[in-house]
Amino acid sequence: MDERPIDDGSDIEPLPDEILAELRAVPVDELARERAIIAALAEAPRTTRRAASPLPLASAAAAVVLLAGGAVLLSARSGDDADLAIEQQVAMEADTAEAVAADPAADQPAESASREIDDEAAEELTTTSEEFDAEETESAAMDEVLTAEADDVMIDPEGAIVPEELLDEAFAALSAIQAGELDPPDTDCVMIGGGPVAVTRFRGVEVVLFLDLANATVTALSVEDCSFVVDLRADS
Amino acid sequence: MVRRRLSDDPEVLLHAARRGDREALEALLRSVHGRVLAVCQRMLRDPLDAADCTQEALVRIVRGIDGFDGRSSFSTWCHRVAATTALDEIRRRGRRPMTVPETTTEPASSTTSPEDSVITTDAMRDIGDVLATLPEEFRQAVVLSDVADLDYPTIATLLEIPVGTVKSRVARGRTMLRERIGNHGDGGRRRMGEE
Repeated sequence: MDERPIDDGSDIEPLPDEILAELRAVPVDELARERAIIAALAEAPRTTRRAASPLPLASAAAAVVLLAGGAVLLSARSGDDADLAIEQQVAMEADTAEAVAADPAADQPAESASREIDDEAAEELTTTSEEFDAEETESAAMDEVLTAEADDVMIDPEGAIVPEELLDEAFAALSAIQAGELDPPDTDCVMIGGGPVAVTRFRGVEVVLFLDLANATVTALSVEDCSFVVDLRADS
Repeated sequence: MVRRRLSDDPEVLLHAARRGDREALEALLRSVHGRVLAVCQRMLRDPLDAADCTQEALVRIVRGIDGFDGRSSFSTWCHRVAATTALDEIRRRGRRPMTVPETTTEPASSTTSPEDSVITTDAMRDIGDVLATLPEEFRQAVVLSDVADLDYPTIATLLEIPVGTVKSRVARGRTMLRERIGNHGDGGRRRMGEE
């Protein structure tokens, strides 16, 4: 083999640009690319998080809803307490009014005071009730937002999903799970060689997706009874 | 799905990735994937091996990103990681180079030496097949220089040979590649022009 040194390398003729471009261009298998990137991202520290992922947003919203729910409960309890206090106040002041009423001279002011107390109690009850209704409405609105976001992420409400999309969804879910953004779905279904990555809807059936990376297959089982729905191979 | 707009600047992405921004890291990986794959593919030739090599290289990149010292560009560093991964794979399997792939080229003429063989079949699909006809040491030198964009000292380190030998191999490899593509005639040129 001739390996004679030619020179210092400074005048080694470069390859033409078109050959260089051809050398650097190779066909890309998109599935293999996604697999490689997912595997690499899985090596990143678990403490890192996507900066603009909707899932943390959903989690935050969930926390808000929980807090709001707690506030509603507290408010309801407070409302009860307020009602009790007001009733006690009304009863006490009514007693006072009755005592005052024993004095004929004080008859008119006592009736007036009693009416004022009743009005005040009614107003406070109304206010408490309105606050409760407002917070309940806010909580319901939050629930709707959360549900909508969850649907955006995981479920096609129309069920009009094509099989290929299940693959994309499964890999996206795996990526999110590996990134710590999503927990694997809780399911009673079991698949040998595959792990559950997402729950979605396929042709009107709620299914849990099992991804088998080794064989690049995605299997959908019915959430209801774990029956087989569809099996997809990534390179098919 | 909410998506924020990421910078195209590798330095910005690198900085963000090092701070733990996974989207930035993913963008970086996607930006280098093509060339990493090309290095692996040209070094190993087999698409499945190349896919494995690419995945392993990307994993190494993520693991080593905090240690990247910035002395070269990030992409060059990634190409070096890819080259190292491919060479590790070659060494691990103890492969002997096959100068002519079985699938898309006819055997070299018996009147020519393997080194000087000329591809004369229309079955040749792309430059990868021509490259595959080069002796392993010349092919590796050309790939590391012209696909991975590594400098001669780096190639010398990776291949554990003197820098002068690297230059020699790169020069000879390029010459052989040009000759074989040229000798292939209009077919090869036309195909490259089309692509």
